[in-house]
Amino acid sequence: MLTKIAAQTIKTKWKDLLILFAGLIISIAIFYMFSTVANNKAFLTANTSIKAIVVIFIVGEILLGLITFIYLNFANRFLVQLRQREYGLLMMFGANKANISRLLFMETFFLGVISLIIGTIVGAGLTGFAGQFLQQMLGLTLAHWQMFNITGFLVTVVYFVIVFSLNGIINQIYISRSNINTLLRAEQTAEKMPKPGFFNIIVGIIGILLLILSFIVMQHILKISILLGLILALSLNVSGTFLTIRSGLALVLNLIKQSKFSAVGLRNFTLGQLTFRLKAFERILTVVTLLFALALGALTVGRSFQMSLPIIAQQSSPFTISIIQPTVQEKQLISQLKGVEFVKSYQYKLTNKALIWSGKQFNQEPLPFYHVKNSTNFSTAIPKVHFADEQMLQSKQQTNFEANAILSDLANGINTNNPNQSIIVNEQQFKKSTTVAQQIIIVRVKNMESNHNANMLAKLQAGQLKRFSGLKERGVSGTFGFLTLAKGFSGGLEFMGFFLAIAFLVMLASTLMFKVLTNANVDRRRYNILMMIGATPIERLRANATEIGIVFAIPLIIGIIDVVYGLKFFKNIMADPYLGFQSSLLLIGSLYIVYYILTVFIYQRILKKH
Amino acid sequence: MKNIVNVKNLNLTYNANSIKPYHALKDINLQVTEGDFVAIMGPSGSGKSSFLNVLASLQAPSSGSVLIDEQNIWQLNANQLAKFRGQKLGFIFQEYNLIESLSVADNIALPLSLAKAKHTTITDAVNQVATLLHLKDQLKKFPNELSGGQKQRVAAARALVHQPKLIFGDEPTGALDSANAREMMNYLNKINIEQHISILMVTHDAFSASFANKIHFLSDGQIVQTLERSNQSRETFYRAILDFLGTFEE
Repeated sequence: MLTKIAAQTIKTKWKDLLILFAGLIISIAIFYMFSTVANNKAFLTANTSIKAIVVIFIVGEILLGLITFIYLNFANRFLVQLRQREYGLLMMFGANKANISRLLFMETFFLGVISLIIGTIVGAGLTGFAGQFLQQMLGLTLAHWQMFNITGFLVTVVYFVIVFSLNGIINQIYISRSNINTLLRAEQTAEKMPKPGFFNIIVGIIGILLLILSFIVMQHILKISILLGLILALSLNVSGTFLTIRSGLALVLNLIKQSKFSAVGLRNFTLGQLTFRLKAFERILTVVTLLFALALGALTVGRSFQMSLPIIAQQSSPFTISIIQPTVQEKQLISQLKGVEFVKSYQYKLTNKALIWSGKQFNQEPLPFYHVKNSTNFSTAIPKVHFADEQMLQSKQQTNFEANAILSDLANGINTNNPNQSIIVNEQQFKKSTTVAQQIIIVRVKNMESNHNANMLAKLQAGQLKRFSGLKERGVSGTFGFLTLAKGFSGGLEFMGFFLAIAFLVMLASTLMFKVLTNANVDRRRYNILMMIGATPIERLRANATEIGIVFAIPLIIGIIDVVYGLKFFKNIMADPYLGFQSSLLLIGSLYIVYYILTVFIYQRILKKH
Repeated sequence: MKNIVNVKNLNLTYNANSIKPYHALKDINLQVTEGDFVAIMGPSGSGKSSFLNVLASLQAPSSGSVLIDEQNIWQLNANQLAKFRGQKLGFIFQEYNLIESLSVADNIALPLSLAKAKHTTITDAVNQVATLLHLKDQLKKFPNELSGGQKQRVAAARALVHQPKLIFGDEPTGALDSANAREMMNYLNKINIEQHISILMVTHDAFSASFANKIHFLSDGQIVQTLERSNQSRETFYRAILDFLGTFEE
């Protein structure tokens, strides 16, 4: 009989369950994708030279797992609350707590099995799509990418079976602690209005002050000891956020409530609803705020790193590409490059002992180099190109060292087997050597990333790598070669950051969504009263959308300020951590807004139910 | 005197397209004169709650018309209907239907806030009804701090604050003990007489109904009898209702 009821429930309540299903399928699919990637050793080792990436993926997977567990718990609680009256009725008709617990367990089990099957199929599709998408978006070649991985699949199944069982047990505990009356009258339980006492006012002010103080610490984090600054900023921020949401915002709401502003339309109603919400949401909003900041921060740092790569590459060398022993075709390709700032050609001889350059040629074609002032901070500025003649290359000044470094870089590319043996000799000595003189060309273009130039440079690079196998390890000298190497090096890391941030956000927003929706049934009565009193449908929708909007806006606003100040920490290790902020905020903000709209839409549907 | 409510050939059918449609209301015709206090009585399932819902613009009828203050309410769209409710109607329900997140003063003020009345107008009106219903000391409290009787007085104050033409009551004393029920009915009587507001109330309680001037008895979705108080005292009318109910139930 219980099996029949459980199956019937899934059949008849599919509209309510659809929300849970969608969230579950997304979480299973992303979890599956992470498991597949984390367990795809061939991919990880082929795409990054850091072994720690496997650990990072596993940590990411664990974090994702934890969030999934919390998310499932909220989602499940939402459904149980929707149906507790029904459970109460079943108990009134003679079902005991064990029967109800078993019924709940069976429902969770059915849901689990169905969503696990669909979720892994969607996950495999998502993994395939993610691979394609990343290759296009990041311009990476992801070798050994797999859509299906048996270990990844098994990890997903085992993990979700555990999570579903734990949730089933939590539901059982909840039911075993409730009596018939509580379940039957759950929706009628009166809520108590939190009142702004003196203590709350003090706590609220302290909360806001702590939050501001955490931003000040973040602002000056580089002047304090990094570790101490981080601990201080984090503890001030967490406690500040919690107390601000707990009492500070209630304080602000109360002040607005007492003003004439609140007397118009449904403003007072919305403010009252919010005071209720904030009390019930203080913990979840604190967690959502921090994790939102983490998700946005992770994505911003990843994006900033990706976006700053061309700048770092440009800072790495004064020329774009070097072509050793250029062929006719390569010279033709060079002539097709656009926005060429300079093309310089040098002669060298590779003898048994060393690689020699004629000093005289640098008087005719001075060697470009960067002169950088000593600084501990990273900068996005591209240094000015200086040119060194024979005299400068032979002098003992710092510029000599910087110019010679360029010469060594070229020499290392030419003579990969025996680097650092590069000497400048006079014209006579150069001519004296019987070795055949070879040519190397260096080119600098204004924009190496334009489609045309990138295409030409890629062809030149491919040709060099084909002809000089020694270059495969170190890459072709110049900014273009640096960029190619850096992209390959950071590809896996960016991938994880991107998807982890998205997955976090999806689940955080869903958790908040479920928490908000849990109240919809209780609110239905309140909105019905408004309807009777004369609130138009649009006024009710506006009140509801404003109320939910403010709940959603709190983590968004505090989270964004957290990231704006928190990114200052990365100034120490990155050129410009803010480079990817706008695009990340746009992406995460858009997703968050979609969740908000979806929540209002579902809320309205529940409110309209009779 | 003009009619505040004019119901013509009202029908309400549930599951109209099914094999077994259920006719909750059948061809009802009813007039309520301005300033009247009317009660609707009837056994469970007689259709009295459905009737009130249709009259109060909460549920659309299958056919027929409902004119309130000469306006056919079911010809209005959702927005016009909401505005109409907000201006002309007041509601008092058995479950009080107060908003827990708002203080007593804010609960009472809601209809005026919705009508975008001035702050001073709202404050004055709230104070006035609070004095009338002896709620002055409760204004800053929240619903969970009030007794059942006080909650229903707040509901009455909210129904009254915007000076509606008509107040609908759905078992307004249903959740109250006898002392509070008597008090509530005395207040409704006072509102009816002093404020000249018409009241239409559904009740199963003969005592509450005895405060009305006229009682319509519903059975199987039809009005089967009407009792008028005329010049009788409330106590005499109460006995008359009980006598009628005795024969009615037989």
